[in-house]
Amino acid sequence: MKIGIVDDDRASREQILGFIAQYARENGENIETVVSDDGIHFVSDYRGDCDALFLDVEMPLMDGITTAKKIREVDTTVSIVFLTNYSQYAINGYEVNAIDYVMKPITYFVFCQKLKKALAFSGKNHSGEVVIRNEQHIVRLPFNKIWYIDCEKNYVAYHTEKNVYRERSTMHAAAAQFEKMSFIMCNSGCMVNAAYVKKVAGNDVYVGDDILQLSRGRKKEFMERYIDYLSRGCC
Amino acid sequence: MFKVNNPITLVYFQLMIAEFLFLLKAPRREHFYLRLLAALGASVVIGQIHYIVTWSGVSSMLLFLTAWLLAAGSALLCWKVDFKTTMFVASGSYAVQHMGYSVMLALEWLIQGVWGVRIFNQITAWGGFAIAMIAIYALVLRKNEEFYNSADTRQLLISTLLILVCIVLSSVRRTCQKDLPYIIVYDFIACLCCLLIQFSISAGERMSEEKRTLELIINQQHEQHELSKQAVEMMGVKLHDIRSQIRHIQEEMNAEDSHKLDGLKRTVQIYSSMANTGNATVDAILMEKGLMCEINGIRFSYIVDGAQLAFMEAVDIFSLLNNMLDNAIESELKVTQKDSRMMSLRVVRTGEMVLVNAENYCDYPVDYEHLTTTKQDKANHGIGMKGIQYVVDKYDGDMRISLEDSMFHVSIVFPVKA
Repeated sequence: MKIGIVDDDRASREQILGFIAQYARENGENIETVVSDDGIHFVSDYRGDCDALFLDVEMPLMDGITTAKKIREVDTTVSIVFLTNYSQYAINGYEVNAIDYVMKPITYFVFCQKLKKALAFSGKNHSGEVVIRNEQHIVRLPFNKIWYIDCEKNYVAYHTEKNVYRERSTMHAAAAQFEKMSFIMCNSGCMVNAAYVKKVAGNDVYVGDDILQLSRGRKKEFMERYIDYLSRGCC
Repeated sequence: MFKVNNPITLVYFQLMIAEFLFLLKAPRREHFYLRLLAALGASVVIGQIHYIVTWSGVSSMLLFLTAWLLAAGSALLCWKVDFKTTMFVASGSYAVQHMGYSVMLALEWLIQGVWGVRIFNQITAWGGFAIAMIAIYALVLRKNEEFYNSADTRQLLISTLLILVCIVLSSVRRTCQKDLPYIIVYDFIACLCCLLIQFSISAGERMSEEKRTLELIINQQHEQHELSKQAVEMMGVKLHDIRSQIRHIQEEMNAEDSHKLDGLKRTVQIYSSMANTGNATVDAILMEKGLMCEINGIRFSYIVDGAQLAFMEAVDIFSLLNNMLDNAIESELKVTQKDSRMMSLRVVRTGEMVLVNAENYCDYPVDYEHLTTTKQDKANHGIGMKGIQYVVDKYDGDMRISLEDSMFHVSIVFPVKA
């Protein structure tokens, strides 16, 4: 697990590092940290491998919001939490898909709650890939590139933005592999990646230009897991 | 000596049993059982008319009418109910009693027709009544305990009329020499209609009544909010003035002294921070709740894209967010460890959906049943949740309430209307 901290104030950086160390100790986690005192350097060195970022909003060279915008150009899944003195500076955090902010001065308790939230939201939780073999080729497909999975006869089809990959398998086997992640069953022959759900209206689930049927019996559980995914980052 | 075994008293007894069930949850008058006993006694006395009068066609009608009016009078005597409710319950009871009777007569007619055996007697008559009573209780009364509260005049008139039809039909049957089976069928249908009207309309009435009340409460809250919004805006203007005054003073002071005012300036800034979410209603609510949190030491963070709520009416936005945040604040006040009080609100668009999520730290067990219950409860929290549910339903949203890892979530998704 890797956490990035960007803050121009040294005392604040050290305080957060201390909190993370304490959190790692208490929870038996191994947490790596990347620290920077300004946004410009952090952005240019950023390798897109962090799970969560804590960005100070008020920084002289590049402010936190701009830093976040630059980061979003290369990493859409990392959880971003702002650090700020004034709530009105962070309220527009939705523009960069930030999940929350922490008001300074920060206490350990509050920081822990926000850290837990950030880690739950991290898109890196759903990283990994599936290897698809069929008559023509072998493809390694990252989980987070799959929009939805459905089946036809003896084949399971993995739908991505541009392609459909088919493999001889059963929905049952696919469900066992994907159920724990951000994939939710819409009906007995189809599961959708919650990250790509555009809209749910009535018994229709919209993904890209496709409409998937939501079966009556699964609607309640589907909505619960979908809402959990949106509000807590996991389902 | 008085005889109990006369039609008036018998019908009356059955009506009273039915009324008893109908009014199971209704408030009783003082000395309830004494009153009931008096009423029963009176019915026995009045029942003796049966042996005095020679019953012909028209007077036979009076027989049933007497029993019916007696039962209505007894309800008024024993329970704390108004006239409308009394007539309503009396008609319902009569319908149930009569349906049981009709079923027994129909069976009798069938059996006698096929096997030529007469089975009708007191026991089977009471048996039919018991079956009708159990059926009505299991099917309707059990679930609509307070249905009688919602009787309206239209219902009352129609059900009374139907009962009068029944009474006429019954006396026609009695005066005719041979049994007329189709009259039994008419009778039965009239009774069924009476009950259907009573229960179906009452359910509908109750729902719209409840909705009206809720809308009224929401509107009242919204009006109150408009007042506090003005006060908050005025305070914002004043604080802005204070801030510029501090700045002026600082300019005239030397650097060292001027630093002493930094803390004061910061505090003023926090209080005067107007949220700018892109929606004036949302801004005002956040401002007000922000102050409430400040006063109570609750850390409140919000990432809100207010413009996404533009598809809702202002009063609904108000009702939704006001209730969600009030519930969260109320819940935080129960957290004894003051440092742990924290909550956050997130309103974001995702695809063609808008997520509204309020979460708050919660270190004590929450009574889900109480929160999500649809039953009427007088607690304030219940009204809050109802207000939220009302808006969720109005805009085809879905709500999820959960408590995980000491965080209590109320999350709602709305499809964005194009």
